[in-house]
Amino acid sequence: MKDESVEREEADLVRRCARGEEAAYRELVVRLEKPLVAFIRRYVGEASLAEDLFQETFVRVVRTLGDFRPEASLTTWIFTIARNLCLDHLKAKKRHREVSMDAGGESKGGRVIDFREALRSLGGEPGPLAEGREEEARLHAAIAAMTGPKREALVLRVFSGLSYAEIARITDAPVGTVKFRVHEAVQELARRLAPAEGNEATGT
Amino acid sequence: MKCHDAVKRTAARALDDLDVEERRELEGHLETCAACRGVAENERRAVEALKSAAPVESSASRRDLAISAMAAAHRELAERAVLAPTPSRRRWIAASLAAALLVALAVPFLLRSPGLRVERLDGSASVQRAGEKEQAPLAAGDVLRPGDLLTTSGVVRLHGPNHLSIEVNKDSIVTVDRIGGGPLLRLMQGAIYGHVRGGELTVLGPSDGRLTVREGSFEARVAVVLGYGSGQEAEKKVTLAVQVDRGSALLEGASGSRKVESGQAAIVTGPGHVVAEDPGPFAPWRKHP
Repeated sequence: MKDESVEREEADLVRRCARGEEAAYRELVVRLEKPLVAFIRRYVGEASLAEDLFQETFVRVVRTLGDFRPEASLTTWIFTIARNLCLDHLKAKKRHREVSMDAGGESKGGRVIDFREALRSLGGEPGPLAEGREEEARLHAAIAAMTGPKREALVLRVFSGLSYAEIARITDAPVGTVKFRVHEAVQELARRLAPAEGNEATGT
Repeated sequence: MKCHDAVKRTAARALDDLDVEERRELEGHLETCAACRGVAENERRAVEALKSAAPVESSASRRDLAISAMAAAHRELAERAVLAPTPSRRRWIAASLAAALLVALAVPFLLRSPGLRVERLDGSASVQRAGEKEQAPLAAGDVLRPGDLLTTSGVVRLHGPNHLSIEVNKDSIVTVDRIGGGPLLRLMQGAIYGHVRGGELTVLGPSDGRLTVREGSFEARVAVVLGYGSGQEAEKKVTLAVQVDRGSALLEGASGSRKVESGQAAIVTGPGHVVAEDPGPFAPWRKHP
């Protein structure tokens, strides 16, 4: 469990946040900004959306401060909130895609103009931020191609720097399973990024 | 150790998850097995690629936005609590619980990101919300969020994060493409007057032209100019024009950019060039926010 001094410090920070102290908000945001943005960005794969979800995470933190248990870790609690928001978003996006495909071609000849369609026809939609380097794009694509549990475990471990125990609490999975997922993710990534000649172990 | 066992541990080795004994055993096998060594090397490179991937940079505006959103959420909760009857302590707790219940019921709405709030409306305007096919009348106090499309018949004043103030002229069409990370608006028709302090606002023109303002007051409007296409034939082009009143702004076309200083005007013309040019009369409607 948590160190007693850490528990006291986090409980105090939560109390100050509950009172609406801006300095406490800042402390929390500064503390988690980089690991949390790294996680959200790699998990949803879209930089501008990640910024919105980052803000929404902290809005939800304020609204649910009463749910925080002092014996829990503040970091894992906030990461759990962020993860749930990401999952909600990814589910909604999937649903939306399905609905849009079902509703395609519906035209009633009314006055309503689909401006988004018009925008697309004008071209130059901003889209996700360009990743720039080719290597980065390959890495991005390889991570995006992984299954959700593997991807989130890898991202939380490598990009957010969390321990296996912390990831286990966030994803509600045994520590052994989390380790296995991260190792499998590295194996998969290595296969995807490896040069075409093939470097598979053939067994001896 | 056999290859079958070795390849189960090579990823753990790359992540530095092995204890001394496990590592020693594995290294012994790798020294004698080229195939497993290849796998281990690929996994080591993969982890290296992950660690050297573009890091997240701190952003003052990102932090400020999050803190403002938190403060707004706190105010909202406090206001809800105040609505409860004058309380004994127990009642106060009951009121807080009721507020929490209201929050829970309103989750789909509340979870949405902060947006641009309609401060004033001189005349009428309508909004087509993201995912909706119908337009609805806009009212003071409404909030515009990413994906929303605003069509104005009167002047609309908006307020956003970091003291951002925007007036949208009558007969304009604007979409909100993004709020987080600095608002991004797309001006399809008409004009806007903006006042930015401490954040960043980006305005995209109808076809090309991108305006970025970090500090200052400016007006941007859709302009029709005579440009030259690749065949050097004159053609009418719908594009973005800007005039800066205070501070500075960066106006970019497809093949060039120009910093526009206070008192200057510029326009995107030709095949994406930016020129310092008088784009014609600006905004008799404008009142400084």
